[in-house]
Amino acid sequence: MTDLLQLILSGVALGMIYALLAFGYSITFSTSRTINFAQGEFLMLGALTGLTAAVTWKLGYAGALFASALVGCVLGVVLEKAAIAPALKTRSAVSWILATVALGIIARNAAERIWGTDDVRFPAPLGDEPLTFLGVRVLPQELLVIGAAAVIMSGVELFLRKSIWGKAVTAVAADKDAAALMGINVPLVITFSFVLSSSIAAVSGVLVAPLTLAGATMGTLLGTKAYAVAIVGGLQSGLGVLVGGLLLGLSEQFTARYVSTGYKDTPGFVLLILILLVKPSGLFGKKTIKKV
Amino acid sequence: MPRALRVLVLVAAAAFLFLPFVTQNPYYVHSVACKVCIYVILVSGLDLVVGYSGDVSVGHAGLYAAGAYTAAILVTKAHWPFLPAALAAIAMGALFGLLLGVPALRLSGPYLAVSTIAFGIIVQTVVNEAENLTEGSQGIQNIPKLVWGRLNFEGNNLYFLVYPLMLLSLLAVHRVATSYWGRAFEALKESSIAAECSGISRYRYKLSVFVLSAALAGLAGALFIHIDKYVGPTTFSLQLSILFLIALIFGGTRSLLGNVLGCLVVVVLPDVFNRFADYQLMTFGGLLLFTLYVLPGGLAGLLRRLFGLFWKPRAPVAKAARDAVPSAIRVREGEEARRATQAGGTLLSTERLTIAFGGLVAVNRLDLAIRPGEVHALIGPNGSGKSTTVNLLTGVYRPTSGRVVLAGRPYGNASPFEVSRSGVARTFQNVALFGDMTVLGNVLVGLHHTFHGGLLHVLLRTPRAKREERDARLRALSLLEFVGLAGLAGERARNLPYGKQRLLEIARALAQDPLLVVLDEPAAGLTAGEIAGVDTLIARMKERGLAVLLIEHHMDLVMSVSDAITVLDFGEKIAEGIPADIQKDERVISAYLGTDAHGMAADA
Amino acid sequence: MRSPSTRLFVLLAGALFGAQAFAADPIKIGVYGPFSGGSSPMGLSMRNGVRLAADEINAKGGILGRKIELVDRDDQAVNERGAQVMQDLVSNEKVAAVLGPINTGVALASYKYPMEAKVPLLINVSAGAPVNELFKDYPDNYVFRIAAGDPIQAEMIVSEGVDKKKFKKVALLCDDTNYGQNGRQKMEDALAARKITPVYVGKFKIKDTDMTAQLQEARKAGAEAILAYGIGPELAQIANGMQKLGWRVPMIGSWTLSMSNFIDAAGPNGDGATMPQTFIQRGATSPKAKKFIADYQKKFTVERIPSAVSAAQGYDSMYVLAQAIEQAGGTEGPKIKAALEDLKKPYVGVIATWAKPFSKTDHEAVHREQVLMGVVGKGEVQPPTK
Repeated sequence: MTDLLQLILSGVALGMIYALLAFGYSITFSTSRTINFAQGEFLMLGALTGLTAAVTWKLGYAGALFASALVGCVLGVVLEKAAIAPALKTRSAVSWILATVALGIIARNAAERIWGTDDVRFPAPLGDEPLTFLGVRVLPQELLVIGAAAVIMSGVELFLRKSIWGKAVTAVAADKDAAALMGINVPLVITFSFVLSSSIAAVSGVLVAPLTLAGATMGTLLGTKAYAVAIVGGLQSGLGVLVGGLLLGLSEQFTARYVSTGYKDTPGFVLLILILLVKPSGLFGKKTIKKV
Repeated sequence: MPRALRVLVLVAAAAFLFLPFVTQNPYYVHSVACKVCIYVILVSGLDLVVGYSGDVSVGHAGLYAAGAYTAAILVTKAHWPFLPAALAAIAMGALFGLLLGVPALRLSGPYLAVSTIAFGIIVQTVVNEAENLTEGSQGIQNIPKLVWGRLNFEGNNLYFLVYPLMLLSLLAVHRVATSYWGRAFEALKESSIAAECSGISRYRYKLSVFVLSAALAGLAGALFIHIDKYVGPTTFSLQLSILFLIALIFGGTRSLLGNVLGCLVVVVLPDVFNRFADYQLMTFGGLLLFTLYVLPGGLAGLLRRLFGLFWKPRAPVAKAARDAVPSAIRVREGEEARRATQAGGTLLSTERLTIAFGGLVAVNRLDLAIRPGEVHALIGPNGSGKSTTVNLLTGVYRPTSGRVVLAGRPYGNASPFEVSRSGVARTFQNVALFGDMTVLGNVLVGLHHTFHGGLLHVLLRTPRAKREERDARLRALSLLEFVGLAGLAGERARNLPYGKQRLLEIARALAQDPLLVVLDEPAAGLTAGEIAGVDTLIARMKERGLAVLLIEHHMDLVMSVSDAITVLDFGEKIAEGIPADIQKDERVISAYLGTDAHGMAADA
Repeated sequence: MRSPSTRLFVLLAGALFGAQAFAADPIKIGVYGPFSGGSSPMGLSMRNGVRLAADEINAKGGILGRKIELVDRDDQAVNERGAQVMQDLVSNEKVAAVLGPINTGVALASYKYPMEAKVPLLINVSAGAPVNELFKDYPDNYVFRIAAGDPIQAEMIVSEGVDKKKFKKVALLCDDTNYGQNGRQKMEDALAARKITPVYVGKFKIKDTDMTAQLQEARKAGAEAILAYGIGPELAQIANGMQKLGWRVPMIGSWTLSMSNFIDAAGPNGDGATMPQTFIQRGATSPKAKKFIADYQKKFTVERIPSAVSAAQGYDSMYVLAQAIEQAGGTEGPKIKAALEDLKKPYVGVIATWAKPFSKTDHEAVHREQVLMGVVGKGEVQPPTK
């Protein structure tokens, strides 16, 4: 029983990492209909910047979070201007895939040159001593990730619904032309959505690095899995992302434990394809009727 | 392509066969040239999916793996010779392509991309884990030598096998792409609904394009194992799938030369970038961004533009078609057509046809009857359910209840493609042309049903395939002549003025040899002169015995051409009759004036 | 397929980035390995070790009066890239010999080319690549190894756990790459020879961050020790995972447990991890080894070498090769091969004193005698406690 709980908790912690990163995808997807394939690399840059802030500049964990958010903002602008905007001019999906992939390649190479190629430890702010509940042991950082993910996701949802900027993002997501007619500066709002999404990715880096180690290659696989999570959940749904994340995290843990460690990722991906075949817009995606 | 250029291409293609005699350096021949050839085979197939069909695949490494491992297992464990093993690899690739293609039936953009990524990852995992079959992470070594009697394809000689196969693959892709198959892919890419309504089966062609592409990937895989005589699972990563896409985009999609150039770039560039040492990936990424920025058409696009400075294509001349005009509209013959005219005077009818979107009932228990050869108008204020009715009649929407009967036979759950095939063609309220295709191409899509020679005919370019293509072109030109667009046959559809786009849609609908043509607001947005043209056109269609269902707001037009009019309001039929009666009907007048400012009075 | 534009590009790039100065007829030595991506800590350490040695040799006037020119190529840990750069080195650069690679898959895809071109390949890191097995197909074997192969390592790991520490129930945890699975196979063989079946065999993937499931299984099976085969970061996650589950059993594993990314990332959780080592930075006792470490730190401005073993093996491989070329009196492959197989002068290296490292029938330089068991402690690899 304890074993099972422990397994579930590990799955949840893993799932929250995926969900947090996936959440960033959903914001930019709603405004630009693109996915940033460099999101994992942004997470990595956030983590490494945070590491420099926390360890080299001795700014503490809060300083690391702040520094990474700042880097995320810059990355968001660069991403939108250098990759997304030009790619949207061509109608092919391949353009934005490759443009963001290119940015990811550059980011990874730059990180290797700045921070080296090694995976290094990111000191956990709340220590490495596991806490025990009902015989289940959990790292303080795992609780921090779960908590922070919940706070960030609900905060952003609230922001999108209540604040004027948030409403502008929602409006652009719903209908660009109508939003423009209402006097919303659409390009600015799109850029803003990328800034928001990239900051979330960068901050996630600082949150997950104490669990995953920080290094130039830490983001690639995470980014891919988070992408899957975002799609399964339905790109326009915060709740969907959460459910998708937990689904993937738990399926990995349970497969590894009860089926095969080698095929750990496979059921999650098979599930993804099946879900999309049944519900093409994801579990919580809204179905649109095509007007002819 | 001018004849001189074609000769030049053939000579160049033949000349490259002698590469191993020019340089014996194994790096250039065995390592670079052979790998480029193999990548080209795969990438030209990927071009079918991405360039022609407009789908995304980030999972082609999985197909490549299917081919490579099938061939490797068969030659090492079952001791099959190369040829049958390669054929098996092609078949296995095609089978995997079918699996990869199924999601493409329902998904596009980021959704399709992620399902192809998942596919690739699953294949790689299985290859890594199925140790009994694939040797797992160790990979398969000891791939036997490629020697058949006195023919030796080892070392640099491998080039003599892969280069001709590459040319054959390119030829195959070229033939498919320039045939009615290629037009079907492109039509589905530009507007899936318009393509289906023009008689193209989405299922058949979406799956086919993935299967064809995968067959080439399978062949590439079977050849790949003979380069290093080793195959291991790490090769078939997500990065490789992305690399193939990069090759495609670098070179430029929908271009054979582009495929070759792109593959050359991705194979050679890393070696060139060795000079940048530890910054080579950054350089590569930067170059990729730069290409996407300034060369959206890739290297081939650049060449085409440079070439265009010296050589202007001649517009196709439509003279030959002019004499053929009378045969433009064909009356259907055969069982169906006979039944249609004999079925108690009704060509198409609806029986209590109803559709609800959520709680909103858009069309409510509609009974409609259209007689053969009549022009039947369907009018009503905005939002009265006219276009919804059209979509129900053409299979785009499935009714909630009730049914549509064509020539005595109910539709059931017919798809738009089946509806088109059974004789109902349509135009669209918001023009749905295939914008990047030529005017002629658009009509040829409508003539899709006239092609009966299968894929083999296309690949071998048999006399039958040539004849069908020639006949279709002639027919298309005469249809263009019929609507008055013959002079613009070579123009891109998107460059036509709005009024002419509507005419082109009519030509495309007529190309389907329909029993009934559904015209959804053919006069919307047209000038008075153009409307008069539509008027004449409808009259001429009627002359030839076609039935027309006309949805229209311009009352002048409606009243002048219609034999019968049905009026809808809030999804229900409120009046039906001959034009003179409808004009006087109280309910019709109040429906228009009472609920809608753009009503009859305003239009009239 | 040499398009003029490609050539032009090479030329321009070369001019812009100042290709190496051309000394009079240098001896070219190829170096290949992953210099970017996940396994680059090993690749870069190896390359730096080779560079350090080459610079020292050049400072003393080179070999046969000729300077050494290193031609390095990043194989990106991709098999077919490895094969391609190998052909580039052998056919274009016409190197006298090649040093590398790190990844076994790369070695498998590329060893045929130097073999066919009769250019010696000195494998200096890859433990899984076949070497002596190649004699079967190639009586004129040009592949040599100056690194501890998997059989030696696996045997020593098992011996440490079963013979010395007397564990009867062991769990195997290996990554799902060629490297890890080859190690698993060899460890299973070594265990079978002692009539022991592992109580649990688990896999993990590169970049896995959570080992809960695997460790739970191992614990449930009653494992007394974990024998692990993988690379630094994931091995660290095993150590950290055990700490998290509150279940600590000894961990014995591949030499990669000595990589700084394991020691850093596992922190105190990694203490006690035991691994076979050809070279231990901390335990360096010979003056040669001490000088090597000091020089490396100075030249590449690092405190700790990311992968000291790779660096040391890279360094020694360059010297052994130089000595063979010197003895051969020329750069022809067959001559170098013959010299390597019959090295007259012993070379005092960082890892060991190499007296006749290779023979006509044995191309493995490292034997059990050269390998020590190291233990992680105080943030470094400590020599074994007697």
